[in-house]
Amino acid sequence: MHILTISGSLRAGSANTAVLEAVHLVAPAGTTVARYASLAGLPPFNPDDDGEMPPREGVALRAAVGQADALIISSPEYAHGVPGTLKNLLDWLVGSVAFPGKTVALINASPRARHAQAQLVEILTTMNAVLAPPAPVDMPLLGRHLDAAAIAADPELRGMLRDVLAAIAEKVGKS
Amino acid sequence: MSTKDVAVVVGSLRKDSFNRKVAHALATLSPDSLKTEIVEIGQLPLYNQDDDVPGKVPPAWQTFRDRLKRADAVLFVTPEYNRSVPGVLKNAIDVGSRPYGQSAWEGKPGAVISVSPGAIGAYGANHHLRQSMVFLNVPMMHQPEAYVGGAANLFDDKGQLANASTREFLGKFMQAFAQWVERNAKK
Repeated sequence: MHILTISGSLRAGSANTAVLEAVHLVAPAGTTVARYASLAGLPPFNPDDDGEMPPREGVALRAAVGQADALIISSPEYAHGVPGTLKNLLDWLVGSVAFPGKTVALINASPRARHAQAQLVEILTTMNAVLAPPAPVDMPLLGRHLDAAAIAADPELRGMLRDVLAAIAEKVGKS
Repeated sequence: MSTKDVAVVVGSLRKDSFNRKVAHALATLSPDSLKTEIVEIGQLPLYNQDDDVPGKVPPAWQTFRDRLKRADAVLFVTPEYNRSVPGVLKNAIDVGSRPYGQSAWEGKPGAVISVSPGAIGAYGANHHLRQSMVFLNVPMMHQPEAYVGGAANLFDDKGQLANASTREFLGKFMQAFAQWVERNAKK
């Protein structure tokens, strides 16, 4: 099974990015995890640019999504909504034949944030994604400043991430 | 009534965008008390808090924030992408909202017109945008609501808003917005 992880934050010290790096550390044998690291380089989505010659960043994103059995997205909330950076990425996937039917897991690194997760569920289901686990997974990371290694070493957090991977594996029929 | 400066933010970057055509039409449909100007967002780098420190702030962010701060009011004209606000528009909202405690949106009266070729007039984008404006302390005009559907049929071959009932509706919308701005603008 191959998983692509996408962080909704460009901050170097982002808890969302750390938790996705921890997914890589806790993944069982047979599961490969790649992090999509080109979010900052995606051009602003303009349908005029998405004709026969879409920009290479958009092509690369769609290829990375196409190669993955599932996506894991961890996103902060900005102003009671999805960060524009992450929404811009999702807008680039509209023209992707690889996206509809894709299994997607949502991780919520801040249990205080509710609006962005609700919007993501609505957006992703509109895009014909299949959510597994069926709802965003709240992880108790707020204020703890844990790096990826510390998240992976914490028994509770490690177990939660393994459960996310197991739910994805069951949905996509691979382990 | 003094003339109020309205920053108009268009959510689509498409050259022949229906939303941009509506935004242009508002200039002639608005009462004299409102002066509308489109503020561009397509050049804004994606928001990264690590870059939002003195000396590193991208000039395009600063120019955008400065322009918003001069405005008396804000008006969004937006399509819907995937049942929500286009990422480029949300990015502009995020850029304007930071750094923490210095939001350029703070307290400015606002309104939203959502425009789409579909039947429900970008309803989902309209309401996700309103949700962000609650957080940003932008008093949004409640009524009339503006969901402009069937947008492909509203313009003539020169891109002018030709549909009479839509012109009338948006004229009334801007009259109401002028009153909303007058009542809620910072003194």
